[in-house]
Amino acid sequence: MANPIQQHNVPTSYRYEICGSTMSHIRPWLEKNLGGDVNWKVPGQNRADCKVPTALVNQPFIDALRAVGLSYSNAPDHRLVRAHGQTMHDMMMLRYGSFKRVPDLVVWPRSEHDVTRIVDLANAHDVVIIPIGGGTSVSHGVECPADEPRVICSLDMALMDKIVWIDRANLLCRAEAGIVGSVLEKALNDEGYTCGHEPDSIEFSTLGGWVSTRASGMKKNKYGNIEDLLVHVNFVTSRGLIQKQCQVPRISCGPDLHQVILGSEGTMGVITEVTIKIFPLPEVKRYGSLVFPDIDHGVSFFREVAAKRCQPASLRLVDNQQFVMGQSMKLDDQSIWEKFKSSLSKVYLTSWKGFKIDEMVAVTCVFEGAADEVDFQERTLYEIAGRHKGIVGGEANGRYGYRLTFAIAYLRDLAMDFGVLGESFETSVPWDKVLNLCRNVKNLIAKEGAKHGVQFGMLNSCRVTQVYDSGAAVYFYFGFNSRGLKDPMHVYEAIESAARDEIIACGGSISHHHGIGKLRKAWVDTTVGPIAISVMGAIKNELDPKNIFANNNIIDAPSSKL
Amino acid sequence: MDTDYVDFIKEINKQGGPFQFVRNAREFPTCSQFGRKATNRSPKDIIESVLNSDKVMEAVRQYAAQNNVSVAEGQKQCRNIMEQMAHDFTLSNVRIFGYIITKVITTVFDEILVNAKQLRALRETFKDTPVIFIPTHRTYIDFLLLSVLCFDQEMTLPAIAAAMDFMNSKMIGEILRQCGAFFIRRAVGDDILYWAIFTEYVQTHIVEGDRPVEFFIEGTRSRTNKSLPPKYGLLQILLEPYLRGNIYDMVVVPVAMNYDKILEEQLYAYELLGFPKPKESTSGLLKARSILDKSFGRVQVTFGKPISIREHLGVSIKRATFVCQPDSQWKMSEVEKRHIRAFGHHIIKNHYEMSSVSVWSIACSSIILLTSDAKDNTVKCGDFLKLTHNLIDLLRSLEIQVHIRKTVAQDLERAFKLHSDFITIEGDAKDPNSIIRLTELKVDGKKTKISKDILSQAVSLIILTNHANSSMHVLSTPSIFSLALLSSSSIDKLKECYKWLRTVLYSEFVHDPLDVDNEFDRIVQSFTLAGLIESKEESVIVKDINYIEILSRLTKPYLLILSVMIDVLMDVSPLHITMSEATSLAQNRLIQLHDRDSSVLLSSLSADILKNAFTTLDQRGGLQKLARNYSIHPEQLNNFKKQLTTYVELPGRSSKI
Repeated sequence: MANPIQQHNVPTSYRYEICGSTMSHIRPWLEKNLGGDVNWKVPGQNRADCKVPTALVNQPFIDALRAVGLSYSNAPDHRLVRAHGQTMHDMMMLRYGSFKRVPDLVVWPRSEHDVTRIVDLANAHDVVIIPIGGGTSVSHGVECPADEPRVICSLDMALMDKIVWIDRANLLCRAEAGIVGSVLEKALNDEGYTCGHEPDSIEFSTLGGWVSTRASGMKKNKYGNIEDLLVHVNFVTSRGLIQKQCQVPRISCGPDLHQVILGSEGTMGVITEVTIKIFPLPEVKRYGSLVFPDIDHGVSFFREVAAKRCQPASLRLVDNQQFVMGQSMKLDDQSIWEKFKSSLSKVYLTSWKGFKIDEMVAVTCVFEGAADEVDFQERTLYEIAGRHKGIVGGEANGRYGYRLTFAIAYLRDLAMDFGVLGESFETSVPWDKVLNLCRNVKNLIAKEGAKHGVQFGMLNSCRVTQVYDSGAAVYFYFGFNSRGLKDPMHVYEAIESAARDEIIACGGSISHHHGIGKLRKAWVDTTVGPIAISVMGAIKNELDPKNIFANNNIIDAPSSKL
Repeated sequence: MDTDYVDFIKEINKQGGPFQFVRNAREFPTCSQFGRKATNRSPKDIIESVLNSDKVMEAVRQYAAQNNVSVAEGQKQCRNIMEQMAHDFTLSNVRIFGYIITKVITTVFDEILVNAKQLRALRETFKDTPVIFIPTHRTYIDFLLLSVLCFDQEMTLPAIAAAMDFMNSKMIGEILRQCGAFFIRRAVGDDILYWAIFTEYVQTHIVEGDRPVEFFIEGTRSRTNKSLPPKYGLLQILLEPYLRGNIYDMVVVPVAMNYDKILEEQLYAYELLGFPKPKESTSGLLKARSILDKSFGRVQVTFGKPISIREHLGVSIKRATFVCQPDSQWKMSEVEKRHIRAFGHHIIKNHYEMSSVSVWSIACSSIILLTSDAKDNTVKCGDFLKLTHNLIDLLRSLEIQVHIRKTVAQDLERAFKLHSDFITIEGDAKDPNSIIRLTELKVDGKKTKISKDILSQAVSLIILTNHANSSMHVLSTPSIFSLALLSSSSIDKLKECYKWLRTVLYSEFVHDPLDVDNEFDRIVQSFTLAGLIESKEESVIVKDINYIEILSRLTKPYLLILSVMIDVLMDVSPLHITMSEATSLAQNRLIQLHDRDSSVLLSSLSADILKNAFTTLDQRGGLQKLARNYSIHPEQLNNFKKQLTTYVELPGRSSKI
C-alpha cells in the first residue's frame, strides 16, 4: 500500500539531544534526586517489538475508500503510532507492553471534501472514526475504546497542512486543520506575523487539535487562548458541514456553536479549516527573570500583577524544587547556579536579603511589543516585584527557564530508562485558593508516594503558569523511581487520581487546557452536573446519531437506540 | 490494658521530685506543615496577626458602618477584646507554676495512671500536623494535669480554650494565661467583633501550628459526672481550616480523664442544690488548701487513638462543596453541619469507650436502689453486697466489663475509705446487718429556702448519685431499653418506645441521635444473648423480669421528675414562668412527695436534673421561650404527660406477654 506520509508530526522517543547542552546534566541530577542508577536501567523494547493486534477488516469500506482514491494504510506501525498520545501510560505501553486495541486502518484525507466523503462512508459502513492531529494528547484522547467491536479508522489530518490565505487587512489567517503549530508559526513569521499561540507541544500539535481541545499558549497574556484567537471554523459532522456564513469580530446570534466545537475532542466531528487572528511580529522580544524569597511572595506578586493587568506576554512562577532542578541541570559554563552557590550574589541574597536556598522561587517572563512598550512593561513589573521582595535575576535565566519547559517531555524519556515514571498535570484555580491548592496537592503526592512504598525520592513540583483576572493556572510535575515497586503503574495511577481529587477538593478545575479525554472523565459529572451532561449527550446524538465519532471522550455516548 | 499505663507520680519521683521535674531540660517539637515554614511566633506576634487578619479587618469595617463609629474605634475595641482573650505562654513561668501544680497533684492523688506512650507518639504527629486535644471535663485539674503530662512527655504544651469564669481572680487568670490558657465568653451572641477575633485566634493557632489546641467539647465542667451534649459551634470553628483547605489535615485526640474522686465533688453537690455558685476567687482557692490534707485516690488519663480529620471527614464531607465560596465568605449548609455534629458525638463516644466502669460506681447504684426501697432509707451491708454482685454479674452477661482492680471486696474497702467524708459503714463491714449511712454534710441554711435538714441529707445523696453516674454512659442504654420493655412487647412498639424515651432523656444521657436505630438493634441482641429476653416472631418475651425492673429503675426517676415538672407547670397561673421559678417550685413539690413516699429520693432536688426536665419540655413544645420568661402550653404538656404515664405510673407491673 502506498504511503506518502512522512512521520514528521509524530514525536518519537530519544530526541532529547535536540535540546543540546541543557540536557547533558540531567543524568547526574536524576542520580541524585530520583535514585537513578546506571546499574539499574529498564530500557524499553524496540517499537517494532510492541505487539499490535490484528486489524479488523471491513472490506466494503476499504473498497469504497479505494474507489474514490483515498490514501489509507493498515500497516501495524502506522496503526500503532496513532493508537496513543503522550501520557505516562501510553509510554509504558509502548516500552514494556502492548495496546489492547489500536486503529484498524489509517486514512489520510487531502481536503475538506475528502473528510466529508470519509465521514459519509463511515456512516454508510458503520465504521468508527477517530480524528488525530499531532498525537500529543495527554488525556488518552486518541486511544481506542478497548471494547469497540466496529472497525476503527484513524483519520490522520497530516496532509491537510496548507495555509489557505493570509488576510493582512483584517489580520487573519485561514489554514487547514492539520497544519503543525511550528510550521504555521514559521510561515507566518516569514510574512512578518505571528499567531501568538505557543503551547508546550507546538513542535507537534496542530491547529485543529488546538481548537478541539481548547488549548492554551504560553503567551496567552498578550494574544489570548485559542478561544480568543478563533474567528471562524469549518466542522464536518455526520449530518454535514457546520460553518458560519460570516467572518466577523463578534456576533450576537444566540448561543455560539463555536463554543461547542471548541473542546469537542473529536466526539462530534472533524475540524477541517480554521481562521485565527494574527499579529504583526513584535519589534522586541525580551526575556526576564525574578527571584522571590518564597512561593507566598511569588504568588502575591502574581496577584498584584493580575489585578493591575500588567502581565507581560508570558509570566510563570516555578516553585523551589523546579528552580533548583533547573539550575542544577546546567552545571556547565553558563550555569549561574554553581557560581551562585559560592558567589557574592548568593551572599547578597541569602545573608543580606534573607533568602533561603530551599525556599526561594523564580519567575520567568517574556516581554513582546514595541521597544518603549517593553521597556515600560519591564519597569512596571520589576517595580511591583520589588514590593513583594522580588529581585531581578537577569535575561539569560529567563530564556533558559522558559525553554526548559519544552525539554520536559524529552527529559521523561531519558528518565524512563532509569525506571522513573513521571507526568505533568494542570488545573485552574481562583486566586484565593492558589497557595492552598499547590501546598495540599504536593503534600498529598508526597504522602501517597510514601504510602505506596516509593523509596528513592520524588520529583514533586509545581508552577503557576498563567494569570487571569480571577485566578491562575497551575502545573504540577511529579515523578518517582519505580525501583522496588511491585506494580509501579498502579502506584502512578493511584497517585495521579488522588491528586486530581485533591485538586478538585481545593477548588481547582478538572483541567485548564489538557482536556478530558478518557483520563479525566470520572470528574466531569461533579464538575458540570447531570443536566449539563445530558445536554452534551443530546448535542452529540443530534450531530452523530450512529456514534461514528466513538472515541468515547468527555462523556459516555448516549445510546442512540433510546 | 493496664500495662500501657505508667504511674506519673512515680515518674516524677524518678526524675527527682517536682522541683527537679520542672527544671529538667526538655525539647518541645514545633509544627512545620508541608510547604509552610515552622513559625516561631510569640504570643504578641499571634495577637498582631489576628488583629491584622482579613477576617477581623472586615468585621471592623462592618462594625464601624453599623454603629456609626470610626474604624480606629473599632480597632481599639478589637485590641481590648484580644487582650482579654489571649494567652501569654511563657515557658519559664510554666516551670514555676508547674512546680506548684505538680506538687499539689502529687500530694492529693495516690496514683496518676497515664498511657504516656500514646501521648509521646504525638510529638512525631505534631511535627507536621496540627493537633487538637479534646478531653473530658470534670474538674479544674483536667487542663492543669494535661499540660503537666505534655511537659513530662516533651509534647508542645497546648493553648487551652478556657471559660471566662477563671478570670474572676486576676492573679489566677494571669497565671493560667502564662500556661497557655485563653479565655472565651460563654455566650458570644451576635457580637461580630468578638466572633471574628475568637474564630481567627483559634484558627491561626491551628493553621500556623503555633501549638496544639485544647478544648472541652462539653463546654464546661460536668457537675454530674455525665457527659454533656457536645458544643457544635466551636467544633465547627476548629474543623473549618481543614474544610477550606488551609491545612492538609489535623489530628484530634480525645482524652478521657477518670477520677476516683473529684476535688470539687462537694462544691458541685451544693451548687446543684441551688446554692449560689462560689466564684473562682483567689481566696476560694486558698481555702482549697484544706484539700491538700485529703486523698483523692487514683486518676486515670487515657489518650485516645488520634483521629485524622482528613480520614474521618473525608468520606462524609466533600470539601469540593465549599469551593464555589470565596475564602472570605464561609458558610456551611445543614447537611455539613449535621456531619460536624455527628463528629462531636463520635468524640463523646470515644470518651465513653475510654471510661471504665468501676466497682464503686456500681456499688453506688446499688446503694441508691436500696435507699429508695427501704422505708427509712437505711441500707444493710448484706443487701448491698448481694445487689452489687448481682449487678456486676448482670452487666457481665450484657458484655459490659466492670473494671475490678483487685477483688470486688478489696475495691469496695478501698472506696469506702476514700469516700468516708460522705458515706460510712456503721459497724463491721463483714456483718450483713451493719448499716451503710450517708453523712449529713454541713449546710448554711440562711442562703436557701429549703429546710436545712432536708438539704444536709440531699448533699451526700447527690454526691452518691454523681458517683453512680460515672457508669451511666454504659448503663443508660440497657436501662432505657428495660423501661421500654416494661410497657410494650411487640418489636415495633418497643423500638418506638425506646426511641421516644431516648429523645426525652437526651439531656441526661447524651448519645448520637442519628445512631439510635443501630443502638436499638445492638441492645436487643445483647439482651437476647444474655437470656433476659427472647424474640418470637414480632414480639419480645421478657425472661427475667427482676433484672429488667432493676435496670429500669436506674433511669425511671428522671421520668418521674419530668412528670412532676409538668404538674408544677400546669398549676401556674398566669401561664408564664422562668426556669429558676419552675426549678424551685419543682423542688418544693418533690420534697412533699418525699415526705409521703420515701422512694422519691432527695437527690432529685438537683437543679441540673430539673433544668434538663424544663429544657426537655421546651423542646417538646410544652413551653415557648419569650424575651424574659417562658409561656406554658397546657395542652401540649398534657399530651406529653399522657405519654409519660405509660412509663412512670405503672412501675413494677408485669409486662403484657
